[in-house]
Amino acid sequence: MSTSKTNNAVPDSVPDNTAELRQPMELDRQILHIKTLYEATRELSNAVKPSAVLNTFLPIAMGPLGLTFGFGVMRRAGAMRVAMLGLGASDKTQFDKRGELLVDKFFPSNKTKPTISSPTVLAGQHLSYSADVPTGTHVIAVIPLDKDSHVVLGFGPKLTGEAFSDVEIDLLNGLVNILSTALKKACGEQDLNERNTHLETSLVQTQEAREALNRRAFQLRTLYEATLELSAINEPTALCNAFLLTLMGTFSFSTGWIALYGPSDTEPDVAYRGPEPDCLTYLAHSGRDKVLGQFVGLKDKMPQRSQSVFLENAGARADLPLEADVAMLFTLNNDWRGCIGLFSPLSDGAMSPDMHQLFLSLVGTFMVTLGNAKHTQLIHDLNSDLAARNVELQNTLDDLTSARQEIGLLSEAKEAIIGLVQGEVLRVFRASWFDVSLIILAGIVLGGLFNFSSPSGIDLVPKSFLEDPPEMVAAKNTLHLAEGGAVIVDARPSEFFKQGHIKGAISLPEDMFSFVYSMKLSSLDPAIPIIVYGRNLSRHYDVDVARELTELGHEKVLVFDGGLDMWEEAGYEVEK
Amino acid sequence: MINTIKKIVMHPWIALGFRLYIGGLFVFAAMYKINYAAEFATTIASYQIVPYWAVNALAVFMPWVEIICGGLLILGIRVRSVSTIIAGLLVVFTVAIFINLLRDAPISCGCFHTVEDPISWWTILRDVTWIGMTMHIYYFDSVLQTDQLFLGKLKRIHS
Amino acid sequence: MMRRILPILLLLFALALTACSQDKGAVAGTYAAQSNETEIVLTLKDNGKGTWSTDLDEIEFKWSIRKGGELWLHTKEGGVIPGVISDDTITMILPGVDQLVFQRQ
Repeated sequence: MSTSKTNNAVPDSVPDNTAELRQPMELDRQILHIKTLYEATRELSNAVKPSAVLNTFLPIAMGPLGLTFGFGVMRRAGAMRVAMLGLGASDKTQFDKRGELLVDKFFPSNKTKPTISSPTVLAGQHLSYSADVPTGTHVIAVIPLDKDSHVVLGFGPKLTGEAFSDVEIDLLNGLVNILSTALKKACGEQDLNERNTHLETSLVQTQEAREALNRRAFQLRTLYEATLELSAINEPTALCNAFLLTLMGTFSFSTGWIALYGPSDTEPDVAYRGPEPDCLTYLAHSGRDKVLGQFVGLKDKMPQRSQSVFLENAGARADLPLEADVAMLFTLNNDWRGCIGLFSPLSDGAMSPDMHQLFLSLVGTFMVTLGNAKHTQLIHDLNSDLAARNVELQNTLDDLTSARQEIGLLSEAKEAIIGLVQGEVLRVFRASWFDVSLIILAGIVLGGLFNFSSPSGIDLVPKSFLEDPPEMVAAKNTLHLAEGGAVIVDARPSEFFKQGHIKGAISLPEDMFSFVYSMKLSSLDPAIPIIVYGRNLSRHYDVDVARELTELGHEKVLVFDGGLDMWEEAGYEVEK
Repeated sequence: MINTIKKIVMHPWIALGFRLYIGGLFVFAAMYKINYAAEFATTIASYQIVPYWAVNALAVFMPWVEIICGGLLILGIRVRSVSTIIAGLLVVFTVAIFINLLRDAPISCGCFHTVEDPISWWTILRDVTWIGMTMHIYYFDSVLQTDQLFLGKLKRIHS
Repeated sequence: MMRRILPILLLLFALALTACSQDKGAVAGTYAAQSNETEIVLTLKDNGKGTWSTDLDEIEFKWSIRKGGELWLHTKEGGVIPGVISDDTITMILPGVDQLVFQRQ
């Protein structure tokens, strides 16, 4: 290091002891040196890449000085670059192996602060003893470029074998400085280039990302809209129709169909959009076996519950009930299997993976909505069923209520009947005025009838009650008439006659009138007056007998209605 | 002892005996009266209790009430109603006899036939005995009743 | 109930009536009696009817036989004329009239 000199050392200070001799030579040499410097400046300014700068620099530096060999090792951003001139392939290997160590010697990578801050040239025989440099290396120049870019240069001895003069060292210094500048510039440019390139790449990537985002946004919007649209529909067939429209719009197909088959006793849900409307009926009636056949054909790839699978195989797609460029099989629950087919795309080209993904997502949404719709339908059906059952229940309740009312009425009737029967039975075993009246009434009726029909029937009301009363006579007149020859007849029963009677009276009891009359009075002169007496509360014997006598032809029959009492009161004679 | 007598006195079989006796009595008495209504009218009249315009009608109807009552009593139909009527008739008869005994009327009872022994206190006693039998029937009769045969089961109906 | 009982009662009644007329055949016949100057002919028919004939009158009646050989003539007016039967004679008393003895003819 003692021999080193900074490039700031101006040739002014070079001792001028052989001035005259050496002057022209010196001048040439200076011109050469300046030329060299200029050359180097010019050449190096052309080179763009740092490695090219290094390669260019070696001949420019070695030529004017007549050096046997030269090398440059550059470590830049961890990468090693080696430039050699006048060295063999073994040295190249050596540098590849140990170049790092060489650079490390001057710029230890573990030190943050650089030990050498400006380009420095070292010269001396001792340098060649280092293992890291080729044998014979006389000069080593170290150039710090920036924080992690360093260059180590090495030069061999002159061809002439002379030692390096100070001037030459200065020249080298100058050259190294130029190299340093050129390298810094080249490095800067290279960095700039790299950054440009990186920037462009980034730009492209950004663009791609934006497109991807756009696509994603489109897919999400489609998905959102489809979800929104489908979620508003509860009816499976309408849902299929709406979804089919969404699919055809999203993926640009002019024809499409959806068929969903449930258990064999249920109606399939089908939708078709395209040129032939008959296909809808065909799907509904004949599509089942073909679609379900595809499920069987898929075997273990068959979509499980609430899964969907693209039908990739074109041959399989041909077996579907309707044509399809894109077809998907899906299973809704375990019971419902369906197929979606899209046909005749409006734009060419296969579907991108994104679109595939979107298709799957849409179908997923569709299946969820369809499942909900099915559940809604099931709930609706169950509700209808429930309502019907409610009505039935209500009817049953009504029936029960009316039956209960009927039972109530019947039990009331029963109570009434039992009450009646018990009342009647009690009446039977009790003295009842009704029965008494009935018996008496029966007696009256039977008696009346019997009396009416019997030959020995009697008058219900005595004749004396209805007829005009006969001629009456008082006690005094009776006596007077009797004295005049009139016959007095006692009409009372004989027992009463025996108890006492008017003196001279004949007993002619009313109840055996005919007999006694025939015996006693039948021979009496009809002209003789007859006075009849005898009556009581219950019988007017006198009237009855007087009537009989009159009927028998007696002309003057009188009734003494006062009877025995009046006779006695009058004080007339009574016979006992 | 008293209880035993009570039991014997109140026994329904005694009531049955009374029932048949009184029933037969009434049927028997009524048959003659029905056959000879005019005589029965005379008998009624002889009591001098019934107004003269009602005597014949009574003579026609009463034997039929008696015969119906007698028949129903023998058969055991409406025993209480019938015994009420019979008791009523007997009371009327008894009162009539009683009145005529007080009057010293020379009449026969006419209970069975027109011509009988004159009424006496024995007649009253006989009639009162019959009234007692009838009341016994009213209170204690319960066996061999036609009503019981046909309607007795209906008593068991409950609501 | 009443309607069911009545025919039975009527039947019993009819039987009783026939029972009453069992002895009539023996008594039936024509009897005659003399009272003062009047001859009275008493005809008792089998059917329980009979006639009382005098020169001027012919009186119809019903008759029946009571226990103890008594003959009752039931008059139309509601009276009973009792008589006593002994062999071929019937003895009868009418109020105010002497005892009548009828001889079977």
